[in-house]
Amino acid sequence: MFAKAYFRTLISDLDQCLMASAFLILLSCTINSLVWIFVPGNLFALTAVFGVMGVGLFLGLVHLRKLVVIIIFFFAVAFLILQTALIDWDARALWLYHAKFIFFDGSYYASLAPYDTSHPDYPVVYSAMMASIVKVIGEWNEVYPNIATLPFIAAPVLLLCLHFKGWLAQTLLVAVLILTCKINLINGYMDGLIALHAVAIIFLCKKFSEFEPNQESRWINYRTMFLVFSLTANLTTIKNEGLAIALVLVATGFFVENRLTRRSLWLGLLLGLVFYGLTWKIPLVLTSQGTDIFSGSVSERVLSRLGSMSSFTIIKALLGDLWKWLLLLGVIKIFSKTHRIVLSEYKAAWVFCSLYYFVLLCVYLGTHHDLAWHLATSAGRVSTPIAMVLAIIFAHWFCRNPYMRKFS
Amino acid sequence: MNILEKKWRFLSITVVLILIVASIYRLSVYANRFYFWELFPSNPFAEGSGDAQIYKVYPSASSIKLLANKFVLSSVKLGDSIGKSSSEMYLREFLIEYLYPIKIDQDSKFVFETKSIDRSADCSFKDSKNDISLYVC
Repeated sequence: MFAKAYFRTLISDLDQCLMASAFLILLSCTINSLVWIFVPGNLFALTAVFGVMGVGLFLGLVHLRKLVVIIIFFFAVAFLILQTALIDWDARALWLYHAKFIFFDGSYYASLAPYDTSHPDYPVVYSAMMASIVKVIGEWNEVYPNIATLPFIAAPVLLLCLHFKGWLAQTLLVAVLILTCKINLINGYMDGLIALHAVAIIFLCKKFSEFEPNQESRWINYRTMFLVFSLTANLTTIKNEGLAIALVLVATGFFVENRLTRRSLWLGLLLGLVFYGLTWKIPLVLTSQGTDIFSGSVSERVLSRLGSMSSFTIIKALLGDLWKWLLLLGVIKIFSKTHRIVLSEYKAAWVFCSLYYFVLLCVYLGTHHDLAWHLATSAGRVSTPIAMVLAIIFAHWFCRNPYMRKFS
Repeated sequence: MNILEKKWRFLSITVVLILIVASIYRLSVYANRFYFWELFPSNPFAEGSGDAQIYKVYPSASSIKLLANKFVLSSVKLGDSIGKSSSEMYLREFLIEYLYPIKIDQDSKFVFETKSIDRSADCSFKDSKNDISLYVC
């Protein structure tokens, strides 16, 4: 009876449907990791994982007419991903290689074994999903595992659709995602995916802050908490930067004004971090693996770079594409008289951008790599979450102008 | 429709169009790097003749050709030994990854060779694509 009533709500309410769909997709990715940890390669369990994911994707199709642009976008991404084997360095030497370890050795922690592995400390939730796809197909293949990108894109994009209703707004959203993620959306790199998860958490909190008033009778909003947990569990186990983003989001929580949402955000983040600790960090420590980014004399490197032109080089490199979106928002702020952008409305998003920029600045000041090389190979990619937050602020503001509202 | 609404209509359509054109341009640039015309003429499910039939080669063989195009032909000549020097490190890492689960001894070197030259007497044949064979020596 309850299930029937809930299903009716899902069918009639787009927001409920989007959240349920995203949650099931995220949950399937998390369960997939647990399957490889506890019952490695068990086909029955993997079928259940893809079943849960399938139900999640199907729920998105229920409102086909309202999500037509997003569904075309998913098909386009899938088509582009399946065109070729991965040929870029990180995509092959890290994520696909780790997937190969998991598939052939039948263990979630296979990449921690002492063989010629690049960055064994990198988390493997994405590689585990790749391995599951290959396992279901039956044998190793270089092309089809790439489709693992799709669930990691679909869930956060569906959650962003809570703010982007109507085909015109969703077209704007898709364009903004392509322009900020660039090729990192489809080339097997993780930077676009962690940016999407971070943005989804920030704008999910904004959504609940706006529409769920402070209710002192309720201590927590379970819906927010479970969504934030499932996003964080994936965010932290996609790539190491995800952990930094999750910690920045904890600090950002102080600037979420709605107490109910703030508590739910923190508890969701805490559960996600516990999941990361139990499934990845503790095994990493037990096998004496760790990140090498801060090896050697960090303080000496930081001080020497602070005292030279290097710090300006880092600031400039990290600004990369950010300045375009900052300029756009600045122009809007100055010249828009009738439909002003209210900076305080996006307080948590601004704080996230500032804090994460500072974190990246510290990482590059302390890196043991050659600074020029490190900046050239990664600065543009790792600043994607900031660029995407700025771009989504612009798109969100723009979609509320009197003309765009007619299409929602 | 008043002037304000007309202004927003013009601005909305212009901005969305510019962003659509920019994103389509971006995607078209990325599409240049895809090699579907190389992958799909050969059936991706077809069984290859890989090392001791440990696993099926295609379309892995397609990717090794891409790697050969990207790295070998520009930096390493056919017949050269690919060791552990910094200039050869990237290609070596790719090959180690490509050949897994065949494990490679840390000291062994890779050699790309034309098919007409048989090096199986002193090296171990691993894979081939078109006119290029891969050996571990």
